[in-house]
Formats: sequence, C-alpha cells, structure tokens
Amino acid sequence: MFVSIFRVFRFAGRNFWRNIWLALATISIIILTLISISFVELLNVLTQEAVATIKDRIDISIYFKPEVTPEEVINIKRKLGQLEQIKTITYVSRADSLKILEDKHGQDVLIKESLQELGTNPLGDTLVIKANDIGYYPVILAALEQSQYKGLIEDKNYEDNQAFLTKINSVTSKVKKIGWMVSGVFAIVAILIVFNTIRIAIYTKSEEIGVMKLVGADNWFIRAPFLVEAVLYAAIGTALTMLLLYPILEVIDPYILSFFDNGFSLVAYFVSHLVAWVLWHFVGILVLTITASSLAVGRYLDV
Amino acid sequence: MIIFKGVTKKYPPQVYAVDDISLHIKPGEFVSIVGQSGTGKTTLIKLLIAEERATCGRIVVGGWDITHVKQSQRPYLRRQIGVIFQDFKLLPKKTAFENIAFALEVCGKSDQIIKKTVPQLLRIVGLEEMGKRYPRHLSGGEAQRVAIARALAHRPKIIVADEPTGNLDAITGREIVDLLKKINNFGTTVVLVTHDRDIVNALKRRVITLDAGHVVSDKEEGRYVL
Repeated sequence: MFVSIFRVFRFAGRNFWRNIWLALATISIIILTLISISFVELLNVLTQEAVATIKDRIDISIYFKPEVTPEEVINIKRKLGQLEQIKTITYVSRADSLKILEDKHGQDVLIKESLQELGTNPLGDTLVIKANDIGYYPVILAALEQSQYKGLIEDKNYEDNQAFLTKINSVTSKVKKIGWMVSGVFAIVAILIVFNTIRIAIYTKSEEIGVMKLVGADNWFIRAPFLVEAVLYAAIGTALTMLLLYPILEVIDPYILSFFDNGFSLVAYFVSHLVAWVLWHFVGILVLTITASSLAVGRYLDV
Repeated sequence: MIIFKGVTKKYPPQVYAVDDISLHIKPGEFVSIVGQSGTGKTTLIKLLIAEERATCGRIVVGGWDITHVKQSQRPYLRRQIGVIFQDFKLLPKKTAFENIAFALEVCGKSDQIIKKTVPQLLRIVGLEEMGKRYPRHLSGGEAQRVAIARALAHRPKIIVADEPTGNLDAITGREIVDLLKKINNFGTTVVLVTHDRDIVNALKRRVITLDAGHVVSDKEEGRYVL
C-alpha cells in the first residue's frame, strides 16, 4: 500500500511537469483567487479594527449647568453607575473643565477675552460616560432625557460619532460585497481552469491509462494521481500567495499605521495569524481544486 | 476455465455483435477463434475482459461469474487474463523493461519483485538483452514479445491474443505463435483471435469459427474453413 501511495505521488508529479505551462496558468488563477479573498478578509479586519477604535473613542459627555453643585453631580454619577449598560463614568470638575478649555484654546484671543470679561468660571461639571456597547448609548440618553435630572443638564454630545460609524459600516460593506463578488468570479474561473487542466492531463495520459486498465491497475490508483495533482495546485498556490502577500502588505502597512493611532499593523496581524491563514486558504482552495478534479475524473476517466 | 452460455451483445439500435453464443474452453487449452472482420471476435474478447457487458447470457471465468462484474472488481479479473493486441499497446516513452515493469508497478508490486520478475519475463520471451530499448528501436516481432512479457507479468491463467500477428510478416508471426504455444505448454490457457489461415492450420488445435455473431463451427484440431 505504501509503495502504491508513493507511486501515486510520483505519477502526479510527472503529470504536473508534463503539462508545466498549463500547471503554471492554473496556479496563477488560484493565486489571484486567494489574493482577492485575502484582501476581502483584510478589509474585514481593517473595518473591525477601525470600528473598534472609533467605538473606543465614543462616549457621552454630559455638561451640567453651572449652578448645579458638585455634590449633586456626584450623586447623579452614583445613581447612573447603577445602570448595567454603563461601563465607566468619569467626573470632570468645572475647574478641570476650564483648565482643559484653556489648554485647548489658550491661544484663541476671543475665548481668552470672553473668559476675562466674565470674570468667573462659566462652565459646569461634566460627566463622561462610556457604555458597555455602542448600542446602549441611545438607551442611556433616553434614560437621562426622562430622568429628574433633565433640567440640570446644559448639553450633551453623541450624534456625530454615530453618523461616522454608520458611514464606515456602509462603505466597507459595499466594498466587501464587491470584493466577494470578484473573489467568486475568480473562484469559478479557477474551478473551470482546474477542471480543464485535469481533463487535458487525462487526455495526455490516455494511452498510459488504457494500459493501466488493461494490466489490472486498481481504479483508485488510476484516479488518485489526478486528485493528488489537484492537491499540488492548492498547496503551491497557497504557498505562493502567502509569499506574495507579505511584500504587498509591507508596502501597504505604513498607510495603515498612519491611519490607526493605536499602532495596528497589517504585517504584524498577517504574521501572527499566518498559520491559521495558510490552513484556511489551503483547505478552502483544496475543496475547490478537488471538486474540479473529481468532476473531470468522473466525466473523462472511465474507471 | 471459460464458459459462455447463451451470450448476446446487442448495440443500439438493433446490431447484434454476438448472438446467443455458448462455448466452453477448458483449462490449458489452446483455442483459435476465427472469422472474417465484423463477425464478433473482438466483441467476444471485450466481453471476456469485462470491457463490455453482455446484453444477456452468462460468462464465467475460472469459476467466477463475471456477467455483471462490478467496475471495482474488473482489475482483479484483468490480472487473471493477460491480453495482447495487434498494435502492441506499448508506451513509447518507456523502455521494454519499463513497459513490463509498469504492469507490476501500477498493481502495487514492490521494486524488489519488479527487479526480479522483469528479467525473468524478458528471458521467457527471448529478449533478455533488449530491456533498455525503446519500442521505436524494436522490430514488430520484438515489440509483440515485450507485449507478451507484459501480459505474463501477473502470471495469468489465461492469455488472450487479439490478432497478435496482424502487423507482422509470416515468419515473425509464426515465431509469436510458437511463443504462445510455449506459454500454453506451461499450462496457461491461450485464446488466439485471428484470421490468419496458415497459422490456424499449422496449429492443429481447437478452432471456433464465428460468422455474423454466431458460432458456426467448433472443432478439435480444426482448420480455417471460411
């Protein structure tokens, strides 16, 4: 049995070399398919990362009226803290708020003069609320609107971030849709090309196959080299795709790094997930090539 | 050894290649099947090696009813029946040695067995010095000997020769038949399909004559009478 398996691999290798140009064309289309799928997957990762970064930045700032005392605000903080939707609440005193304003707009003459003219701190205390999930913000806002504290609140900000997130999700979902469509087209082309490559391999070997049948070769032994050939295409295609992806990502990475201020790197992501990526891409493309090869063998190899 | 019982092979729409053939070939026999072209000789061979299925009737080889043999069982049948053809069916990119070895390789025989068996087979067919030659460097007779050696690779109980002398001159053809006789003397059943009158008459063995898909004559020490 071991001898036969070894020979099956030898025969498959021989088939591969015998039609080397056809094999290269087949591998090229497999690489295109895998790169296309990889980009869709990477886009998915980037979207998730972007959304996570933005989500992390999202909070609700509740600005209280200046006449509301710090004790009242701290009391409200304690009560809001009982809501399970809320992750953290940070209290920012009016003095800190003023300091932040001065630090941020200290050079702005108009703001400086306005503050001098007022003579006192016009700002109230602020509560900065972070929710456990982005979906909870409307719930928290609604709770505040209906609460007894409504009259104490000067202003609150939230709307802009939500619009930005919706826009990101909408654009990326459209790009992903196009990406999957392109990958689907490549996958269909890959199936057709593998099917035809195996068909031609069967024709090229028809004389040999005839003799094999005549002398009593097992049916599996006649079929197996063509299936192994499909495995070879998948393995070489996956390996070359990974080798090509690395330099491509090296080129893209600086742009990604400059976009995310949390140091997210595509190359680092790729390297840390390499084993899983190789495995999934190989298994995926293997299913595709084996299917195409089995169809060709079933149709053109009468065993 | 070989039993055909009321075997008919019909091709659509209404072409009867063989029609209600019954015959019994005993172990160790040397039988010639003769007849003009299109009388069903090759169909009979195809039925015997399960390349075609009988439309009706029964075919038994070595006690094994192969009438409805499954595709997965065909290889085992074919290892019991060595077949040689008029056009030799040798692989041109393989040497004589490799062509014979190929039959053993594809059936899972080890390299040691192959190295031991192939020279023996080449010796049996008288080509022990020609193992390294490619088919294009062999004469027709030598190529047919390689094909016979390959057919013997699995030590089959039956050798079926379909017009083995068709591409050969008379003297070479006779040499090939002598080789088949030699193989038959070792106890292998030989079924020779031919329309070479001289060879059949010189053999003085059993002759089955086909005409229009029917057995019209079956005689011990028969002659070519068409």
